[in-house]
Amino acid sequence: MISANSGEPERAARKRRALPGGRRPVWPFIVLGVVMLAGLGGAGWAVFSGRLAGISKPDFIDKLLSASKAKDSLSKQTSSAESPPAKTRVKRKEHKAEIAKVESQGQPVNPPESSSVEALRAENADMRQQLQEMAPKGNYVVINTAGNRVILHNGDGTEVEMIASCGSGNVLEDPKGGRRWTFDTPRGVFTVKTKVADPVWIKPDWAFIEEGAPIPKDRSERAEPGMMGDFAVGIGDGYYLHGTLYKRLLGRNVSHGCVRLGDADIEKLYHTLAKGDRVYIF
Amino acid sequence: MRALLLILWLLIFPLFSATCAVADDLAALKFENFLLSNELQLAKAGKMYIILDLPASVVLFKAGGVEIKRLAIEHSRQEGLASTPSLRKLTAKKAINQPKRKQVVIASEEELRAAPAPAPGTDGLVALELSDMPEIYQLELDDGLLLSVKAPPSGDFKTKVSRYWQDTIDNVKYWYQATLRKMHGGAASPQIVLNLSGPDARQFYWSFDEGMPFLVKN
Repeated sequence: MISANSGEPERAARKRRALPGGRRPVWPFIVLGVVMLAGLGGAGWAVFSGRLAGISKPDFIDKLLSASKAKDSLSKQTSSAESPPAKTRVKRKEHKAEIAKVESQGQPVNPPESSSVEALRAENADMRQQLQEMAPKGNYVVINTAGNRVILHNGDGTEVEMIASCGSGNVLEDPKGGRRWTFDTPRGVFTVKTKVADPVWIKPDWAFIEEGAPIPKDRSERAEPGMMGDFAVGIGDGYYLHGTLYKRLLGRNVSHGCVRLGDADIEKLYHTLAKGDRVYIF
Repeated sequence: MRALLLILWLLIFPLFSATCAVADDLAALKFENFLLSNELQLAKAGKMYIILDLPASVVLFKAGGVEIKRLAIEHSRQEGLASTPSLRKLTAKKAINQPKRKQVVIASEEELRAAPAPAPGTDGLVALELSDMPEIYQLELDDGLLLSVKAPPSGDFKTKVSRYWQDTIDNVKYWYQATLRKMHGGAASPQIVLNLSGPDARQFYWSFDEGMPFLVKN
């Protein structure tokens, strides 16, 4: 059975710890306060100075700082958010030099070993911006050779999709000369090199071989007007986006490598694109 | 004393956890930095490249900083893939039903006239088209990473059975080779299994040849 006096020893111990006059000691609270202040101060110093194994300002501090800067003008805020401190700029310059050096060798670029979080954030933001700036500002064309589609991206952000005929992927071998042609539409990044109205097709050797006809020696015998439609846009290496007589085959892979389009579509491309505009083919 | 220790622990723990979080943040930023540095390098060189963004479940075809095509990954699985990033290149495309280029037949006008009419339901066109591309194949990258691309089985019962059979063979082959490598002290080759829709799987096979740069976000 538990007696009513079971709490007696504890009370006696408390009395022993208490100061004369019944007051409790104050020193533990002072020590605690000092430890807390030292801890918070140390953590704050570490975080703000970017020390402690690359620790930088946590996100919430960044947000607080950017909120306080919101009073400034938008441009000022952007520049302040994206301009790193002097030390960071030096590191970024070194890393940019490394990128330039490695770029010339065509090898993968490695990130700097001892970057702080803040420096890396700034550098990543910088590179993202550079990538955005590289994208064409005006018109450009994307050609999907598998789907036989041409997408014209206008400078204002709108898109126009067109049905095309891309390369058949077939192979032709010259039975006499041992030459070989593969009728693929080339893939990669191109630019508009030429724009021609009323183009005349100068038939290459493969066109005669394919027909089983003799290859003419006179250049004038190769000219075939009307085959390329009313307009042609050249992208180099003899490849064109042009009109076609075989409109019922649009949407199929039937060409010898050029991109065939309907009359209205090639006319639109001819009038919209300028020399130097980019053409992406995949 | 206990109260003092508790307070000390309460003070130190947030600092410790913050240190860990920032270390993770640093690693993620370094990874992103690597990807961006290499993407910038490829974009400046005017090359076309692929970004395999596994967390976002997309395959991006990009060139010069422009996204030219986006394919949705329905499901993906990684096996033995290191977390260290690297710029990879496509070295080989392997499929059981490899698409074959058709040879242009050179015929005289008389032979063409005498040729039989195309079979009903066909237009007689000879070309390599998207429908000729495989829906199951493997892409080998230069560091040994294997991208196993699969589309869900479609078509009649016979096609579906053949697809399941092919899948099983592929899996058994992979695990057999991985086990053999482990037995001989080598590490199992890393693999990413990508499930794409049928048209997307064909488009992915169609669009790129050997030498295409790959950046993998995992």
